[in-house]
Amino acid sequence: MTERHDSIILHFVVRVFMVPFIVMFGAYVFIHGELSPGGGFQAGAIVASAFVLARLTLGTNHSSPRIQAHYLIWLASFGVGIYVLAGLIPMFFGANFLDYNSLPTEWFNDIAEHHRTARAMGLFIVEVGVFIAVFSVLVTMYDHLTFQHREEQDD
Amino acid sequence: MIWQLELALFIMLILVAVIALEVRDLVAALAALTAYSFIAAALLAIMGAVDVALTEASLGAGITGVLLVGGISLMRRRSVD
Repeated sequence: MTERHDSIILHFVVRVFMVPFIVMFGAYVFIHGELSPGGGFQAGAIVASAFVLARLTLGTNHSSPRIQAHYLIWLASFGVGIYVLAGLIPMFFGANFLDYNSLPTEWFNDIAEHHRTARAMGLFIVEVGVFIAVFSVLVTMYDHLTFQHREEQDD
Repeated sequence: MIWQLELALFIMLILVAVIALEVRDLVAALAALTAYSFIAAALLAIMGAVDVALTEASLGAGITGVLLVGGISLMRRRSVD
């Protein structure tokens, strides 16, 4: 499952049409998750499926960007850390765990033109953490399942 | 919505689930399982749970199939029971 296929049509369709479209659709699902169906979890699964598609057709060693499984685990922990920080920071301002209303987000409203409530900002931060964690865990699962094939291929 | 469509989808759902349980070839069972996920996603979208349908379509019909193919490639393809 990790070797590179030889069909140039497959390469062209996957690299030019499918992977960019899937990543763009994942970004749309992620950004519009508050208003329409979607969110961090679904967007992470969709973007991870684009990476898995690239690894299936182009080969794990040739698919770009080459993220090693070791760094993907760190990335997943980083996503969980974002979630935990978004929960812990309100506790320093005298609120409960994961109480987004007391997140210090006034400085962001001064920089940006539009106004967002602290609750919306907190939800967005949590979605970013969920997105990173789900994406990297799913790609890690694929890499670990096909690890044996890569070992045979390298020999 | 259209109740005939819903009934047809339900019948297909049960049929595909029985196929996934009964077939010997594990890759064929996996294809039936993916079809099950897709029909379930369509049913959830009809019933108005679009968020759950999106999750089911992306995870159940997308990633799970690839991961289970990777799992099958590590062992024998035919089930023995």
